[in-house]
Amino acid sequence: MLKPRRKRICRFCENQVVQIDYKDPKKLTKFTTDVGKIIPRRTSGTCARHQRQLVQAIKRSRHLALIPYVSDIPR
Amino acid sequence: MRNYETTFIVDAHLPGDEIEKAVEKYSQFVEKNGGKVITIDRWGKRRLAYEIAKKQYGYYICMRFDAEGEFVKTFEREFKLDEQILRYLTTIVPKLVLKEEARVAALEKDSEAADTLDEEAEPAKADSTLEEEKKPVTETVEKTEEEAAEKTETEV
Repeated sequence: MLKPRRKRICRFCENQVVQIDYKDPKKLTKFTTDVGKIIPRRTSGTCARHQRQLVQAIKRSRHLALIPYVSDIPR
Repeated sequence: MRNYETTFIVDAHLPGDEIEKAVEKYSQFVEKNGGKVITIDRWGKRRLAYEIAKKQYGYYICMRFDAEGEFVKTFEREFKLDEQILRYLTTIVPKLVLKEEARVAALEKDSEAADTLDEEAEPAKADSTLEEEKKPVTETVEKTEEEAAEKTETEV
């Protein structure tokens, strides 16, 4: 028998986020692994629209050295 | 005309007045080329997530301005040529964000009017509200958004 999974709700939709800000590394790191990879939608439960925004924001943030591309030492 | 946001990183090893000069230089560059600077946000010295040109610290500046699309090209060229600039990023501010900001600003005006009334009645309480305002910007934004959501709900 499959265990019934808890339905995850998009955290950005919950907070009614209009646009995900690339200038907020603290929030963005919640959606990356310790190594710095972007966490997939199937894990985080983010909706398609916000995931697209999130990916854009993370990439911008990486460019500005706000969050790392890769980090061996998880902070 | 369009609303743009440029974030750039100046070498933090430079003396403070040199950094100021750079900030002034770029804001004036916008004005000279028919743009209009709206806000200049100095985040200050920050540790970079990774080394850029052997540097571990950078001075972050975030600028909002109105300008023509063609201007962005020349503006970014300036950054490219400047060796004091470690990184730069120019983004278009989406129309949805502008709308949201206008709405939040309108709401804040209302609450400010309410605050001044409170101050006249109880000065001690006004102090506590001031302290709340000093909290990180992101938190206050969220709060106002929540308030906005509540307000719209009640209106409906």
